[in-house]
Amino acid sequence: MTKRAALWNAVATLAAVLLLFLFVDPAGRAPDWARFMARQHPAIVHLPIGFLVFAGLLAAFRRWRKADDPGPTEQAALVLGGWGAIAAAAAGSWLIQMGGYPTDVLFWHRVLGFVIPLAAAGTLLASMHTPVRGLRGATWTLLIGSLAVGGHLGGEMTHGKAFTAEYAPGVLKPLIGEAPSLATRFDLSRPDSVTVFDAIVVPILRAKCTSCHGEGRSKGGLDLTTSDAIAAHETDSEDDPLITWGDAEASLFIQRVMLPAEHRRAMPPIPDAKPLSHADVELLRWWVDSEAGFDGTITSVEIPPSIDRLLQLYGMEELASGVFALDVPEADTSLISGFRATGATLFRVAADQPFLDLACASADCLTVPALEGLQDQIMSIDLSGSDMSDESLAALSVFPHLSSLDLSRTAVTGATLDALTGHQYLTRLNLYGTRVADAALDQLADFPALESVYLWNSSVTEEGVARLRDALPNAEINFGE
Amino acid sequence: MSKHTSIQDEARLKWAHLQTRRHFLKSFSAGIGSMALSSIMGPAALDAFASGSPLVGAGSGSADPLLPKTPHFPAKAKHVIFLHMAGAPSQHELFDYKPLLQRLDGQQTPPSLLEGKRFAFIRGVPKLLGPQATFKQYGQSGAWVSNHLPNFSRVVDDVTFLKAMHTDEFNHAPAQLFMYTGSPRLGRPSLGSWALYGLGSENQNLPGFVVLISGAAAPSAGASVYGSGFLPTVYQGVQCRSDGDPVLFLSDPDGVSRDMRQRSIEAINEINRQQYEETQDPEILTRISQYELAFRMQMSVPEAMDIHTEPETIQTEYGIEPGKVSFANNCLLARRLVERGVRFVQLFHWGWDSHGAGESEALTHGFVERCKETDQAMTALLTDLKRRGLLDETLVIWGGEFGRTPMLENRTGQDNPFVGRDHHSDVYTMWMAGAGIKRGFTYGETDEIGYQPVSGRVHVHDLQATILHQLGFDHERLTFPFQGRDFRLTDVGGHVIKDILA
Repeated sequence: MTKRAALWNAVATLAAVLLLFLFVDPAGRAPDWARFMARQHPAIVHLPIGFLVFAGLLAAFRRWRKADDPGPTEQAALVLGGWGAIAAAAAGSWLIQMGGYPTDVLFWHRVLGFVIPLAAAGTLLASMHTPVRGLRGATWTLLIGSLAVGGHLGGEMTHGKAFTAEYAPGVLKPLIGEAPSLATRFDLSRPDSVTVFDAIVVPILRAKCTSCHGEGRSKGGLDLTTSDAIAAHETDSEDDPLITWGDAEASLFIQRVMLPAEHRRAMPPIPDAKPLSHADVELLRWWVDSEAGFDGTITSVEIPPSIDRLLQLYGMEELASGVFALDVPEADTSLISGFRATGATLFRVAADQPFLDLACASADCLTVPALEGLQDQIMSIDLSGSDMSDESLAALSVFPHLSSLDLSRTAVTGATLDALTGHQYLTRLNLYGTRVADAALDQLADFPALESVYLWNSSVTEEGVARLRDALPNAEINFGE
Repeated sequence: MSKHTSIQDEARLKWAHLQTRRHFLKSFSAGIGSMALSSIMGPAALDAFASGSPLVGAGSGSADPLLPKTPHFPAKAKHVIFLHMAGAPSQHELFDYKPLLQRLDGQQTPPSLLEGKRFAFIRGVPKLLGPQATFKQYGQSGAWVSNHLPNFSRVVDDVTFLKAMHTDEFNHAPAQLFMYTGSPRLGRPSLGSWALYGLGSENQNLPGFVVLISGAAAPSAGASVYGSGFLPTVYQGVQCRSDGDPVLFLSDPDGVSRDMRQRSIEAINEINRQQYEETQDPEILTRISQYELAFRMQMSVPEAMDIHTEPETIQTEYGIEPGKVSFANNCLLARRLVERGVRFVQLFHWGWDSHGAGESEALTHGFVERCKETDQAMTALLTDLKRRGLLDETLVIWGGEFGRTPMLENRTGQDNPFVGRDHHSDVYTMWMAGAGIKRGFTYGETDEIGYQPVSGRVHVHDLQATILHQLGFDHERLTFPFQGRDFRLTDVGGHVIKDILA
């Protein structure tokens, strides 16, 4: 190949790229033969990739053998690769017209699609016309780099980010970026304090609707960016209202997104298609059906099982209450095994909780030194049928997160119950079969969190129980009657 | 549970079994299924199960498989008492009141209701049968209860009724297997075994899974409804008796002192340990721990099972029958066992198969007897658990393996003086109480004649998922690797019935 031919090749390539760039409008409509070609884009692209990588390998081999100028095979591979890339870019440009690809990734993929044929022609030109190694190297770097990144972006659009990133080794992860997790789509971390509208509806509208139905460009006069604009929207008289709270099927908004994609009135329309997923539609329907409106929080409305399942997938947190809402560190395992060796049972309440259940046959276990490091974690103590007495009760004051205490069938009289004052989490107190009397009950009024108290077979009287019921109206007092 | 026993390990174990003469011979004398299948689970798998938490087990290498273990999330239920009315009681005479069925009594069933339906016994066009009971509403919840359960009607505000239960099976044995193992065929572990496998036992001196049987016969599906399937046999239910020796063959024979028994068990276990070193068969660990448990049980079981130490008032309240095997005795025993930390108590009371083919299975005779045998005791059980604070942490479940048709089954002809109903799998009633289940609540509804569900259907797998959920488990994560895949109680189904959780 002559130097002149390489120059003509570069000029022709530039012309072809300009032609594609200027005359194939991404928003236009291609004729059917072009659409057919467009669909072959994923196949066509691999031809130039093969040629150009092959040319690159030849060039690398040449450098290694200290030969300076490219041989005829390398030149031919660059020319064929360059023109193959133009064919791929043409098919790709028509494919863009058919729509459905994420715009941010698509932008760079399109740019690199035009850069690659130019870089191929430039590389050929440089290796024929200039002896400057740096310039030659730069064109090769541009070519192979564009090829790698452009190809990756194409794969990402075809298979999704998760596909390409899934098995990436750790070092590559920062380059490729993590696959977006389902859970980050909606912020459901505090379902009692975020509204359905803000947490679920707005992200869907932003992703799929507001590019057309926004403030600046409100197609059909519909602006979906704010709750006020949505509430104020009036539909044509022959249509249903935009939203009929409690009846998704009678809401134009839901009707339009549920139409089959081919339908004339289906939303989003095909050329702009970023179609709503089934989950999107289900969530929007739930929003309307549940009458959550713009202010209803996630926990304030009824969540049917199918929606609940979806929200779980999107990472909705279960609301913790009582001690479970506290941030308590994990217990020291060696302390636990050490304590267990004394014969008492001490077990973790759940794999996802730091808290411990303690059961002892004797009050002595409360004074075992190993327990000192575990005071924050113990949430339930069972001393039923043990030798627990009024004097030992003070030993219980060191467990700040105690929420269940079983003293049943012990000699406790309750005279020293004030030792437990300050146990703001104590919800369950079992005193059946003890010698607890009415006087002790008055002290229980100081435990506002109490939900259940057991007093069967103790020394309390009906009057005492009645007083306690008045003091703790929300608690269930079981007197065995 | 991130780690799985691979199928290669399983194959290696099987191979090891076949190398052992004893195993080889045993597999011919005792059936291949019972021993080989259940031995995959070993300390390795147990450790894998435990690996979510370092606290599980006592920390020793060969962890006792019965030590308490940590569930997925905090459990509401520490114990379960399952009152199984074997034979399937009629919901039409107990809870599912349908005035229209009364009015349609004696009329021919319209063909539209029979199309495509198949019954266990009914052939041709049956007549509808009105409720053989009178109903009233009780409690603040206004639950309908029939005159056959005068005691139970007092505690309806403590339970949740599941009015639209349904199952896949309409014959007793497969339906019972389905209820307890999640599969209508033999070979899967039972509900109690899964509970024990998941949670271990709080009391190391008593079996963690106790089975108490009353009525004229054992459940039709036999011991498999409390068997351990492919789980290690250490998790199977232990049948205890309220009369005579609580556990058969537990007492030392004449002339054998406890000391001698201890020494012999130590010697046997030493040999077993050596055998384990050689073959690594985890089932040997099960055997060792069972010998040790049996030895401890010799002391603890007679004490736990002696209902006569209960105060007179309690005995009267339950209506126990000293010296006999009765449902009442078993209910009182169940409370005593739960109080002592037994994880799962399974009661079976036989005799509810009211086909009407004879007096004992007539809705007007045998059925009424069964109600009398159970009403007082199950009510006393709920009341007793409640005032002791045990109902907070004990899940009580009542029900049969399926329901009964609103149609009369008349197998013997026109002159049959007795009335009865056929098996019905589409809809039946169960109730649950305690351990985080709503109180005074009814879930599910049936049509006007109690024939088909209208809303709130609950499949057996849903019930099982809910029971495991209350025990602190995600039923999809409580699995056991067997034959190369992870098995679970709920097979590939089951949804927790969140609507009935308080």
